[in-house]
Amino acid sequence: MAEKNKQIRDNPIFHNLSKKEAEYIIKNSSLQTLAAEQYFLKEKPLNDTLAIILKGHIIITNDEKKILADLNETDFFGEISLFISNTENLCIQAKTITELFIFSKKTLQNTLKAKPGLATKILKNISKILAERLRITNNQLQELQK
Amino acid sequence: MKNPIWENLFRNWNQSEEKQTLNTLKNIPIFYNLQTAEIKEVKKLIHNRFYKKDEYIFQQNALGVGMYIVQKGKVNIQLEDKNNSKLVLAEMKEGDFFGEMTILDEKPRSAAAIATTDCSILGFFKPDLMSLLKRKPIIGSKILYNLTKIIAQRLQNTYAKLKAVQNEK
Amino acid sequence: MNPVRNIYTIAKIFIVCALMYLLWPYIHNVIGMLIVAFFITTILLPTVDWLEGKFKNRILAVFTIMIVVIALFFAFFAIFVYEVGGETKNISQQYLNKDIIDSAAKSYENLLQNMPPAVSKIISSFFDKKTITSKLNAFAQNIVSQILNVLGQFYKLIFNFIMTLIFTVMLLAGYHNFKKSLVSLVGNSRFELFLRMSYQIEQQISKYLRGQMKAAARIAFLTIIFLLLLNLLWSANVKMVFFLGIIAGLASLIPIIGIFIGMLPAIIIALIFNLQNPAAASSFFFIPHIVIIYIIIYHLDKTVLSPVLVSKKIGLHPLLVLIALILGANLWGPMGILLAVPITGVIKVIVNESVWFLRKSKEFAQNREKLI
Repeated sequence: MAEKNKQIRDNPIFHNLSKKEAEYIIKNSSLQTLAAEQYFLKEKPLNDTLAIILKGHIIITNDEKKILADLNETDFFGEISLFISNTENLCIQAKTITELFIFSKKTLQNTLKAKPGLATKILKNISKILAERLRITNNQLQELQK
Repeated sequence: MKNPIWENLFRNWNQSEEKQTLNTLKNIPIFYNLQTAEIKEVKKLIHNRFYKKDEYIFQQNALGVGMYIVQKGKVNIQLEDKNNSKLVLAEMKEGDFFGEMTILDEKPRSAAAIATTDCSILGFFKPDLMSLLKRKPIIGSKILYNLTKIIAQRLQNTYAKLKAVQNEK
Repeated sequence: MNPVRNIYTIAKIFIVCALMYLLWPYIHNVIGMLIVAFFITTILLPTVDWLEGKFKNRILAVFTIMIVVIALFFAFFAIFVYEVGGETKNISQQYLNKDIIDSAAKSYENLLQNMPPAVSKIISSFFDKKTITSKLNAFAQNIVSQILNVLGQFYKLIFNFIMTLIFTVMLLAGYHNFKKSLVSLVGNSRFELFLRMSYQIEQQISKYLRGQMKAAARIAFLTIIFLLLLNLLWSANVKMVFFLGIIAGLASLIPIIGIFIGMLPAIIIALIFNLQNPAAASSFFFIPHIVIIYIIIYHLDKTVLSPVLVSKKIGLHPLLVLIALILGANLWGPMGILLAVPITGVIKVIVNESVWFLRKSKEFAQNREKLI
């Protein structure tokens, strides 16, 4: 438990959380263990779910079998799906035995109501990550359009 | 000599303007899902500013701390370079907002904003959001949620555009 | 720049300075109160904001905080009255009694005997036994009238205290509105920079003042503990320990000479209460002990408890601090000495940020000319 707590707090999404706050998040989230080669999602859009890889290896591919992401321990995916709905079909598959920490949109909204201070910390972290990524993507786009 | 102090001091006395501000704020995605009482709290933090035609709201590379909402008038968002050439990226009209990225990260402005008509503009700034998050966490976290959602949407759009451009090449 | 405009600016500054000079005797009291109120506000603001979030009502938050602060203040005040009041009564009774003065003269002789002969010769050539006796007599007669004088000043203190509290409550309650109206006075081209500057100043001042408070509290606490230990282990008769601790804490905010200012009252008190104690003379009335204790406390605090001192980050030059202390003493007396260092720190923060602000706005003005 203590180890999981630390692992959660070390993740950029839950950066700056106190031990107690991390406990609250863990209590209200779920864990999912995938066997090697097991699918987390098969040809479906990813919605309302942020997942952090506590252990293992995940590969995300799209319809055309193109690898979109190759993720390892401490990486996360689905942070955008907490805010907007996706329509693109994805395959999310574990390559080895994988343990996922699942933080759902529902949990985020409940936290917003019950503990706005805690929700604020998480939102600040996510928005910072997204803003940084948006800047990078915008720059890439500008470079390509030149 | 024209003194901005007096202009800024006396313009808040207009009552109908107050109502208009409230209406403008209600329709901004950043303040979606806020009740009227909560919007009124936000209004207390909003700065009303007036800009003449051709006046800069902010310049490219300036240090920014917040976003602006056009209440009346038109604003151009433009890229400027050393050779004095200007590229208009977007035209903002009533109810549009811009510069919201700097609320989240205090990076220099990536483009300039210039008033193309006389403008009435509302400003909402990071220090005010920070104090709101502390003093009225429910309102603050709602705003932060909306803000994050907007950025997520924008990121999604940019990804799509990037993909399209990459496919073209 | 336009020369006419320059002259206009200089004339404006000159008129403001002249007005300030003329009005100073009437307004320095109010300004002092406002400054104190502003300091208390910046220290309490984060807590009030936080409580407002919990209570959902700012006025309630402000009053809760103020009640706590007043209660703490009165607790300290009670300790002060209890210790100082009780002991002054003792002292004046003792010194009005002539025997005590004689015994003081005797312990002075004892002290001289305990010193190496060369040193005692030099000292006795400076302080003759007779002059000491007569001086102590004069002091004893004065002390009663001085206590009365202090009591006479008391009503003024209470008035100032209450007014400062009212200012503080108003500032705390309306802080965010005041700030907004201040920001709205700034012209469009510098408005956003100003907003950022004021935010930065607010953060830094609050951090600085809180750091100073913590440092003072640490020193006060350590001093009280060490002096109590001194009383216990060496049976030194050092009274008013809490009072000495608070003085040492406040004095520690003054760089370099603070330690001596804090030490001095402790030495005086140790002297006064040990004059009758013949055993104390052999340990030089515990003066060396006290000096060592204060040095240890300061060293401990600097090296172990706060490796990075906040005042160091603000970086006040010792010379500047001394000038500020003298100015403070001239303007507001003892209150000025107390406030001189934090005010200088705050001014430094404001100047630093303003310089940054002016430089940046100049940069943008130049950029703009290039672009248009």
